[in-house]
Amino acid sequence: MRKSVLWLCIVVLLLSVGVVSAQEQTLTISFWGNVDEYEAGGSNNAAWEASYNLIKQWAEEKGVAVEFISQPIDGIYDRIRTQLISGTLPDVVAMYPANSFLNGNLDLLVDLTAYMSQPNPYGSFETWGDEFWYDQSVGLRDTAIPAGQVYFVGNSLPSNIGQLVIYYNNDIFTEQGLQVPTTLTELLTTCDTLKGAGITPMFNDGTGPFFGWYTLPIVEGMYAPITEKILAAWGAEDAPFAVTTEMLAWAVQNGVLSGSNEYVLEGARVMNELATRCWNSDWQAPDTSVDYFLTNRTAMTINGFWMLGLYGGSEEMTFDFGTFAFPVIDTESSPLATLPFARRWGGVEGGEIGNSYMIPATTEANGKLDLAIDLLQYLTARSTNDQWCATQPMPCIPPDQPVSEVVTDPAQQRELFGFYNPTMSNDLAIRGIGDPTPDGVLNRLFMTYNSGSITLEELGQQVQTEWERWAERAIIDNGWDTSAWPAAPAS
Amino acid sequence: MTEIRATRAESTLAKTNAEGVRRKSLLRSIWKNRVLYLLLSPTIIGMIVFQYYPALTAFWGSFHSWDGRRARFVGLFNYEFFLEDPRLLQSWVNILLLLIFNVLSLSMPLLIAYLIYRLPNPTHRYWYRVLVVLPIIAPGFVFIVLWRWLFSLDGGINIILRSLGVDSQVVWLGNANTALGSIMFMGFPWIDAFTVLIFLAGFIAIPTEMLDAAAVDGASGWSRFFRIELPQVQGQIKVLVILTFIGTVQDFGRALFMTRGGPGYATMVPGLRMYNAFTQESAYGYASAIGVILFIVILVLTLINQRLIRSSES
Repeated sequence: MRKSVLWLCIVVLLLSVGVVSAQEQTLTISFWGNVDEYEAGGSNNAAWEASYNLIKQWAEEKGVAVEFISQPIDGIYDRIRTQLISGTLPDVVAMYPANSFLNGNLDLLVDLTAYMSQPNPYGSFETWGDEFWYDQSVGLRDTAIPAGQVYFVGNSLPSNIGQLVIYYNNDIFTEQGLQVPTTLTELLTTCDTLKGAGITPMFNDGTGPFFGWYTLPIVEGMYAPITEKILAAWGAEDAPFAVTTEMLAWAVQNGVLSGSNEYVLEGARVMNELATRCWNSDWQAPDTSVDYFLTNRTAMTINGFWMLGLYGGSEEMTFDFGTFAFPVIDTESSPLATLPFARRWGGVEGGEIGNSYMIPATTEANGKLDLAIDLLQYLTARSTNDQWCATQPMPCIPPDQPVSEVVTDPAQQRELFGFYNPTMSNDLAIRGIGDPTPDGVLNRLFMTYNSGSITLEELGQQVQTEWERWAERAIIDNGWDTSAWPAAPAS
Repeated sequence: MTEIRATRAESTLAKTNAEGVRRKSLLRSIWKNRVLYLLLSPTIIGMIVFQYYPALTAFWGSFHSWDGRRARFVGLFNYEFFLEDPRLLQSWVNILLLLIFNVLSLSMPLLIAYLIYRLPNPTHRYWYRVLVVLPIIAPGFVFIVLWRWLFSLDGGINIILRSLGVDSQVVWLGNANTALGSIMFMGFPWIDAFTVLIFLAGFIAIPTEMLDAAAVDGASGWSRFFRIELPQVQGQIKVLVILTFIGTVQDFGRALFMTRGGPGYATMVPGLRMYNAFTQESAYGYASAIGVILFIVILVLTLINQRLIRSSES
């Protein structure tokens, strides 16, 4: 009797140890978008669906129970920031990295920098850092964002990709005898031709989240001399997103970025030209339930790489499409144009647009850091990245290899053209100048200007007032020491 | 001298005794109704935690530069910043126009409630009531989607206008001149079921004796409505006007979902400025200051409103 009680105790003890260890082997992951769609397969987002499957694969191999928590994309950064501050984030967060929402809260994340020089057990290189494609230091800097420290690691699309391109209806272009435009003047002429044929040239959604992304390349192109002045004054290295919020506040306070600046006004005028000649007339309030491009209402649209899979796989798609990068603003379209190329969204390395992961500091406190690191190492090992790449609508192409060598189908080449041509470089990348206000004052006032309610000069005056107010508050909110700022440049 | 002292001592003793008795009777009363107090306490605690505490936090936050994690005292800066906003006047004008419109549009549910009330057949009255209440079942999102489509370039309103021979190419929500008017027009014919039911309840509660007496005195038609029935639902009107005032000043949902305050700032309202400051800028202190100002405005408007209605009653 006593023996059986003893055995029973041992069994219970073992079971409880088993339960406890099983509990330790669980990981919660905050995941980008709706996990149910990824689980069902064939979702609109091939990149995240692939990441989701890789995590499941890792969980199975390691015998870890993973719980995914869907994060609806609308308001995701605000939500994650709140959760980060309140210490309620899951063990791992899967998201596109963004620096603005992390400002001042980096101490709440696990700094991964030290791990980069250590080996990745799943990798085939000496260090984890080497696993990332190409020049890992630049790739990681783009991804990690602040102060050279690594807070995010991710899968990367190893090719020089611009995130936003113009998709065009090749059937309409062929019918109208149109070529892919390489300058803004050519684009505007293309729009005129299309309009003349009764076709709405280009779809734009002023209410959508990507409107700012769309206008920023134009603004960046026109503001190039202002960017140079800012970077020179601060002695900052030219790089993607090199112009920080603090630099912008300095620029506003010192009159470098102002509503009366000729480049600012010219930028608005150029954008108005584009809006008037190219965009759908209801661009300020389009019917967002309809994809104007897919349903043949417009000949062009501006969108990201994620639409490749959606358009390519859509049953509604009845035409042949291609892509081209937003063309250069030439001197014919604007006498103040100074750049011989167009600025582009996207980091110079693939990592910037890949799916990324961060670990909140609470994970360490919960004793799950090792498990979380293991997952991240698994997800970013070169071999896993290759596996991830194989499921993307956009093939992973090394930068020194011509796209035509990898993609031989002319139709597919046309679809991918805008993403790879011209080849991305530091010169082309968006450097962060533009409207500094989170509410998009420039875009809001531009809408008023476009509707004819105010003149260009009035737009400039109103932008100036709003920017000054923004700079004043940004200084107070961030507690910047303005006495340490560079001196105002000589006018 | 000793007498005075004695009197004072007696009076103090009497006061203390009286206070003691009061305290005892209060405690006794609480003890006597302990079950009621016990049942009320979760609600009160919940209100303190989830309503009063956040409101007080917002008041505190309005004097700070606060990003949700760190707060630094900035005095009245947030208030000054809001009051110096060049867009402030426009957003208050927008609110004022919405306010006037919303108060005026209360006449529609009043009319419908009255017509239902006057229906002689109780079965018909029942079914009309059901008809008015039925749309509540539809989720609010459907309402937004429907109206967005109606206002779009190829949407319902332009289709109707084109069928009438007007070549309408108006982008109702995308034009600074028509966007606010379009938001007002949303929900046409502005029959809110709850408002109809409140008015209807008021009409039904009118004593039949009063109506019979009015009929004997020759009151009928408009005179019956304006002199007898309408004054009898004044209580309902008062409540609904106050609720409309509060609701309109607080509301930014329509502007957010329909236009995000645009085009430009054409449909911007203070509540949306608060929402944007909170969600887009993580400027919790500034958003709190806007919230406090909105609270004061609503309070003042409600008091003025009540005073006006009370004086009109007297």
